[in-house]
Amino acid sequence: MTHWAWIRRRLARSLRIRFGALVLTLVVLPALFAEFVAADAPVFAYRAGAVVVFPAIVQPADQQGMSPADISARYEHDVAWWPLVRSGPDTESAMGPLAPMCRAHPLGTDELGRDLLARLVYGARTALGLALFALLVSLVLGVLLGAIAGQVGGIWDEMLTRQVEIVETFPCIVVVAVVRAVYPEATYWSLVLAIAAVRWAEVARLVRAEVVRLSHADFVAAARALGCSRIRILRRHILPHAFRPVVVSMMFGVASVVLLEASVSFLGLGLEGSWGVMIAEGLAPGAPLGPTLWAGLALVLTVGAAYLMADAVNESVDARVATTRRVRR
Amino acid sequence: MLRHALRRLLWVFPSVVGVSLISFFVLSQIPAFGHDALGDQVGHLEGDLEAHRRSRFLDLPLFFNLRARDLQARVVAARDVIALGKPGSEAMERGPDELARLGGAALPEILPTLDDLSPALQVRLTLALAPVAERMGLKHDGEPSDPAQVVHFWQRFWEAWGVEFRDSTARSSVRRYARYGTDARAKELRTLDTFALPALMEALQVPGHAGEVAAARRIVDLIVHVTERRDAIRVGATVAEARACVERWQRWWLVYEADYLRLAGAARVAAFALETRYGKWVFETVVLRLGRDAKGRPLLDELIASSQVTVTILLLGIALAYLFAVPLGTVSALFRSRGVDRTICALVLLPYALSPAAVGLLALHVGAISSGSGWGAAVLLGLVLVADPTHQQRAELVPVLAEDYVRAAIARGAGPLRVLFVHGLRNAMLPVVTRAALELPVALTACFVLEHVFALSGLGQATLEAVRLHDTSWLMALSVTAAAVAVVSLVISDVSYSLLDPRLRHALMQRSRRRA
Repeated sequence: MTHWAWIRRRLARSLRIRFGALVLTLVVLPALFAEFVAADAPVFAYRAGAVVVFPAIVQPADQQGMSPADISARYEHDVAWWPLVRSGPDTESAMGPLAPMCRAHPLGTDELGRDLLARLVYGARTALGLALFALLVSLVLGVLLGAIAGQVGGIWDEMLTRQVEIVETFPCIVVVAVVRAVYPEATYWSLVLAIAAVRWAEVARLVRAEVVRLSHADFVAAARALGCSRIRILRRHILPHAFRPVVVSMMFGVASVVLLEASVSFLGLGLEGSWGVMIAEGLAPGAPLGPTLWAGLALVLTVGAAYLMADAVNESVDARVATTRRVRR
Repeated sequence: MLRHALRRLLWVFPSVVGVSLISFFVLSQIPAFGHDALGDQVGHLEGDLEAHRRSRFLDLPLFFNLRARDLQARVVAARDVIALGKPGSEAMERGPDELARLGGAALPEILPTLDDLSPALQVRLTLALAPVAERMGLKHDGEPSDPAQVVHFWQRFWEAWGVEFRDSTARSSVRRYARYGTDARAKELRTLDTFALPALMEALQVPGHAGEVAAARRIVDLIVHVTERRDAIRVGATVAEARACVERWQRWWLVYEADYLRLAGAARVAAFALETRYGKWVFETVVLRLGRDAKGRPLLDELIASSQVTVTILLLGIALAYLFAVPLGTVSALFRSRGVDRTICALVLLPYALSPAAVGLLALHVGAISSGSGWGAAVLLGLVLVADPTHQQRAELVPVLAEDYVRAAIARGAGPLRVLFVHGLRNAMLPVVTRAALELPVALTACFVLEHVFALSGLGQATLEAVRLHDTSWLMALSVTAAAVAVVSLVISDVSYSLLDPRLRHALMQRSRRRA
């Protein structure tokens, strides 16, 4: 049995992995296909002899200034496939504010009459998208800098190690505050860069550790004796070993970035359509707790699932931990 | 060991400088004239855009200034304006105004070389000095404003007084004036006009007690007279008022120092770095105790006052979290993969995943914790933070319990408690507990959120306010402090780990001995 097959078997057997993967899929799928879950306009419609797909995206000018009722009326006589909820995250529903759960609004509406499910789904897109891009940027930065530091060594290595330590312990919220002071309107990319500016350090540390550990290993010496270039040795022989710790760190990263995004938006430093903003709506005296509770539930599911999976993967790849159970008895 | 700690601690400086450079660069991208509390204030006080720009150092380059504008450059510029400007034009007004502002300090630049200029320019230039003569209190019969006599008047003045326009003279007169405050000295210094400003500013001390107020007021009075900028210490002012006034003047001097000094030699080289926005910021930070925030309050006092709440919450919360995390993680590791373990993991994970915002809000709504309660915030912070150390404790202990020496201990007949405490926890607890120091900066986000929920006026609220007002100085101070705290907590974590772990201590000792 190869090492990978062993890991795969352990992963598949783990309850936490299965549970986490299921829950994460339940969050990621609606986030990816948010337009199928909640939108003002139908997903596609057969109208005047032509098929219109995603009219809200393809022809946004057509619907400028139309109320949801107008849009409904417009497609009434056509063959149309509507999303689950017929209102977007910013649309005020005809049912008015604080509508109870019903067929049109599965989770009801908030104080301004916006559909809660729609807001949750688009919030998931914001949170997960931010996490994805921030982690990707930090991955690229971290692998590059970590590999360079591990290979070059000497004073550069020392400097990067110290820098990584400081960046890792630097409070992320301060970076976000500084970036927000510069860009009064929070843009998606400014937040992505702010978060990546702190998160790359962890990846760099992990990658560097592997590079330093393995650069004197026998198989690396053998590869060098065979005439492999440094880049090839790094790419084919050393970096694959860093894959596992980096994957674990990325999964923990999903949890922490989603949480950070919620906190930052809660403080009013983040993006508009976010779970943090929904939570913050419960702060006003006498405000209904609905948005807070639903956003909190969404956070628990997302963060909890990511954390559980990361934890399980972490254990399953560590042979020492994985074989201890019988010994303890 | 001490040497190791000190060497690590030395990294505070490069990292603080690095962080400050980066944040300064980022913050300098703030559009200069937005909604800006400082702008409103200063604009009100001095009434013009130029002064505001200068007071925020926007006329200076960011990091390098190869052509620092000193006294000489300004005098030459003013002379050129007077020489080239058409009579009656706007530039013609500005040149003499600038010369009058530069005042006595400009005289050594102008009067000795007066003969090299054309007669017409001599007259125009010296006529522009009429307000200076007035300010100096020179005796005259209308000569400074009489085109026929003005050049001769100033030449005579320079013959009589030129010897006095030397740094050492100015400094010794100021020293004597500060000590005795005689009218004769005051008159002498008034004659030196702005030439005495550097010495006056050097002699101006922030009054510490009531006895020093009078000396400060004497000097400030002279400075006010010379600069025609009305901001004197009034008679009978309290120490706090006097101190605020002196600090305002020191800040003013930070902005306008180069106008009254001729940069030469080392000073000119230093000006490459110092006459820049970053250089001025560093100077303000080090000498003027971080300067003032956007509302004009002393920044250091604000920072200390608001960080008290935050630091208390942080320390309490972290202590609480670790107090519970270590036993929970231990129990979890002992009952690995069984019901107890799963329950603990889930319970610990729940508040963490719920995010501090939701946890705080729910606690507020349930009525468990009332608004404004610092203790409540600390408890909730502990609740939110407990997940990570618990998991770490569990992850550390599980492999330790599988070690051969634990098996050997069991085989020798050691009891379960002895195995756990002596063989297990002793090895597994250290890496977890020593990481507690690192939580301080990391837990800051959660702390800000909880402060916001419970309406506590700590660092979080102040920072949100600063972001709204684009308060550069506050954010700079915050990020530099954060970097310093990060380094210090790293050192604490590192050193405590190596102190508590004999193996590491040994390794470290050997390494440092080898190096020596």
